[in-house]
Amino acid sequence: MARKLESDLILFGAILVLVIFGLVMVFSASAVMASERYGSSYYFLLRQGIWAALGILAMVAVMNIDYRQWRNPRFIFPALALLWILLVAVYLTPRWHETHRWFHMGPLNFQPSELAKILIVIFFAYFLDRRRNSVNDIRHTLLPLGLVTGLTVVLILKEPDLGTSLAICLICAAMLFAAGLHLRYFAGATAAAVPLLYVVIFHVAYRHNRLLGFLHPESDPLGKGFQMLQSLIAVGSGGILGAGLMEGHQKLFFLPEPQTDFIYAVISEEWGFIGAALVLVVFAVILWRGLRAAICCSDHFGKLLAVGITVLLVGQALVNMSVVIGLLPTKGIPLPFISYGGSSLLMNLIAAGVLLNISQHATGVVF
Amino acid sequence: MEVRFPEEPRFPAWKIPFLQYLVAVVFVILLAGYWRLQVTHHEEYLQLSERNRTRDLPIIAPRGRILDRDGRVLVDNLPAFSVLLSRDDPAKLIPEKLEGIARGLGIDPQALEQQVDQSKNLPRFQPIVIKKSATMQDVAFVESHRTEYPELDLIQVQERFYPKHDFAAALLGYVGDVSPETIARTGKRYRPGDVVGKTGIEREYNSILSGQDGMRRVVVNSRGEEMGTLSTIDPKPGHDLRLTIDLNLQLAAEQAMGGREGAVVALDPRDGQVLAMVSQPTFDPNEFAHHIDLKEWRQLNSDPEKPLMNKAIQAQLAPGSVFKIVTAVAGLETGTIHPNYTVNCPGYATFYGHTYHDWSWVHHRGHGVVDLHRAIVQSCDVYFYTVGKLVGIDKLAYFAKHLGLGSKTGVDLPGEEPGLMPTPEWVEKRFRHKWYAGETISVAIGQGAVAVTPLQLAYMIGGVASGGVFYRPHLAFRDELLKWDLDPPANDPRDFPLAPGTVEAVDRGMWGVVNEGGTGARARVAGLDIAGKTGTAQVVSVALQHSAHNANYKNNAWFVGYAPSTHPEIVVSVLVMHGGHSTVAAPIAADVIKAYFAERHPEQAPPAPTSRQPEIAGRTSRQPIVGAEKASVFP
Repeated sequence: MARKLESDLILFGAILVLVIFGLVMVFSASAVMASERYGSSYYFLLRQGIWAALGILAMVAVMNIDYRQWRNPRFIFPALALLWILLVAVYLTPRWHETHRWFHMGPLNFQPSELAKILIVIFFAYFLDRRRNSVNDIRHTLLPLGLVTGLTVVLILKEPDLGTSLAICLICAAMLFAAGLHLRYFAGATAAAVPLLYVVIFHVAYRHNRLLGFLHPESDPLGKGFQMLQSLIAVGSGGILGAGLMEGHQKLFFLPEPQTDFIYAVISEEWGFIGAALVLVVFAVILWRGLRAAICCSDHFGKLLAVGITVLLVGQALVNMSVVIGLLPTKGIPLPFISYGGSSLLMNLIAAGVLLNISQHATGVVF
Repeated sequence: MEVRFPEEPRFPAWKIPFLQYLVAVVFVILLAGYWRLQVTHHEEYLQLSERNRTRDLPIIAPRGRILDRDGRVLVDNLPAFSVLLSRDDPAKLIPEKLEGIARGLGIDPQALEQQVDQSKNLPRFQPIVIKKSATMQDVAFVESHRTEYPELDLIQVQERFYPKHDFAAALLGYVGDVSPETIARTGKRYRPGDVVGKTGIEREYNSILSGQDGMRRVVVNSRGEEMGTLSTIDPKPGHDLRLTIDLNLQLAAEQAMGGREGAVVALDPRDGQVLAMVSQPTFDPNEFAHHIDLKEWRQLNSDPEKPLMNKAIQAQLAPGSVFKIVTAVAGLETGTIHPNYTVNCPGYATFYGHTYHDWSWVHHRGHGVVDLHRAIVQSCDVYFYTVGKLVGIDKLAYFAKHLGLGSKTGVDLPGEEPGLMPTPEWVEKRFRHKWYAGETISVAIGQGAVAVTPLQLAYMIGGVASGGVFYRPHLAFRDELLKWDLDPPANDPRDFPLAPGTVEAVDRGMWGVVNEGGTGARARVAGLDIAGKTGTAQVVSVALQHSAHNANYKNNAWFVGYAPSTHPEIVVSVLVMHGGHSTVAAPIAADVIKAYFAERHPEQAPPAPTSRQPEIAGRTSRQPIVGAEKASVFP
């Protein structure tokens, strides 16, 4: 029986809730700083609002494009080429915030590395689908994938943007895992990464302890741990119920980039554990519905694409939230749908549109 | 319920649920992490957050210095401390605390409370300056009461310093806290406590001199101690401003005045540069830089000699006989008289049924038969009564206006007065009666309602002696102002061409005033080609009448001299109020001209008169500067 294709309304709702909540929090986090720096407390809200409107339009448009259209190599390879051109070109733009991450178009800035995430997901889904019978073939599968990923990651690392590079690696790993890459590869990669991980984790733990030691005011509060400590203070002082919307203190000059990478700290301070947990739950809903779409999708490409996009959206959120409480040292990953940042919001909404289209094909399976 | 199996059996079905559980575990870990911070350790972090305080400490940008034409420092800055009060926790600023602070710093508790009250609308992390020029005791008080008054801070500032104290004070002006009106008028440009120029050059070129304050956002602990700096906005220091003033001439002029009430203006008529500008008596602008108290202010303001007034541009007085040059130019240019036109002066003359005396009448004799030259040299009133009557008030007023009287010269100083050249229209408008013909007779010798400023007279005589070329007097170099994006008026002269014969006749007359035993003989300096015109005026302007109420109504003495007598390089206008007779003014101009030639044309200048210069009380500090090398800076 032919059925009308319906997008996943729960997924759609969850995304919309995050975008709207994000606008509120961007304003709360940036109002004071914006009026001090730009003379208008609406400076960031206005720009984010424009991007959100554009993004939602794009999402609805993409939602109505059959996801199988993306499997077309005549789209994927030119798009990858364009991405690399943009990533090289962005390096030639003037430095801004000490990095070469943005193209400036009037009041709006565009970050090509945001485009990279979704394109890499589509490319992986396409390529792993093509090689679904020989995923573990080093020469014909893993090497080309590694080359494409490596080139992209290196270009992004040069900006420099460590966070986005790691996010891309994470997404690729998840897609390779889902596609059936032999576990021994993961074991090998993990073994290789152990010394690195050890240093990272040890450092995090060490720093964590040192930060807590700041209870004594004599210690150096403005050293390297300053930002981290300020984030912890924001989260911790929020308590269960939070200080209330607009009432947070930490965003005023203490938190670095309160409207972008550390917006979750502002949320935690102003809405408390309840608010932080609710945002986490909404991301859990996206995970649930996204992977449900992957499971229910009938073809290999759609499954991989859904997994990739879900990990793209949820994985970034988890990394961002971990960074806020010092569980991971990386910076530079925004909280999807919520953090200030136009190209990130637009690209995440487009990715969500693709995911919503896949969800239309989840036929009648109850997860 | 239908369950669909994957179409491609190679796709490992367990992997996606596995991913899901894996991520779910991360969710749980994160939740636990947030729980630990927000619930278990909430109290600790709350404490930490309460300790998190910032303060925005201003970094005061030093004002630019004011230099003379050779770069010698006229106005400087000195490091000083200001005491700041933070208001990040207004609840803690209870009256008792404020009173303690006020007592410790020696300020009025009520004034402090009022100040705190008024700054309610400022951002909380912006501390306010509660005491400038803090003494060592104040600094010690703040340092030793850190625990008691963590709200107090000290910042180092550059405070305005006038190294020569009352030197050129009326010209340079003084600085003070910006007024609430100015803050309201200029939007957010100023904050309370900002220092701005209030008068003189300090005010005129405030935008160049004043820099832009910077700011340091610091983290402080609960004891008010600085823990570190969050961000810094560097201050932009003000620009140094070079004036056309020549320090040596200014010193010579001030010394020559010897504390007498009045003014001296020295101009270069070739381009309008003001070389010296003195107004006496003077005041010490340092007192204003350091919060002048009300009593001192009232004293300065009610002083009958008006020390705060810049008499060089604000005293509007009858020019007396200096005006005869205008009458002579009008007579010659209109063809009414010839230089050889003669008048018999018996010591008085009768016009329109009134008898007008010549100044020589005090000796009960006249000047006899005089031509124009003799009339200028002897300053014969009867001659100019006659010329004035012949020319008529309309033409006199026309020439006076075009020679620069009755309107502002446009000098770059605030508060210049226009003076007054009366006309029949003005009288009708102002007094609603017809012009009395007899007034023309008074106006012709610079009495009656004619009022000029010392600057105007220098401008007028300089212009006439230069053949009718009038350069706007100015104190700042135009090309330097252009560098700072200011738009100063063009330095094109205003031409009012005079016939060569006119200029020559008047020039020779004024040369005679000094060199042929005329009224300005005391301005004669052997070896220098000085010309000039004296004036003795009886009338005290309305504006200054109060200032004369207890003083004698002695005449104001004028002398305007210039040198060389053809193509002058310097013109000096001297006003000695209540000086009695113009003979007191002439030597002052001569001293300034001598100083000019000693500096610019040492080969022409006579030996410097060391013995004649009077030593003025309280000015010993200036002595080393006289004749100091050009590049040197004030000690």
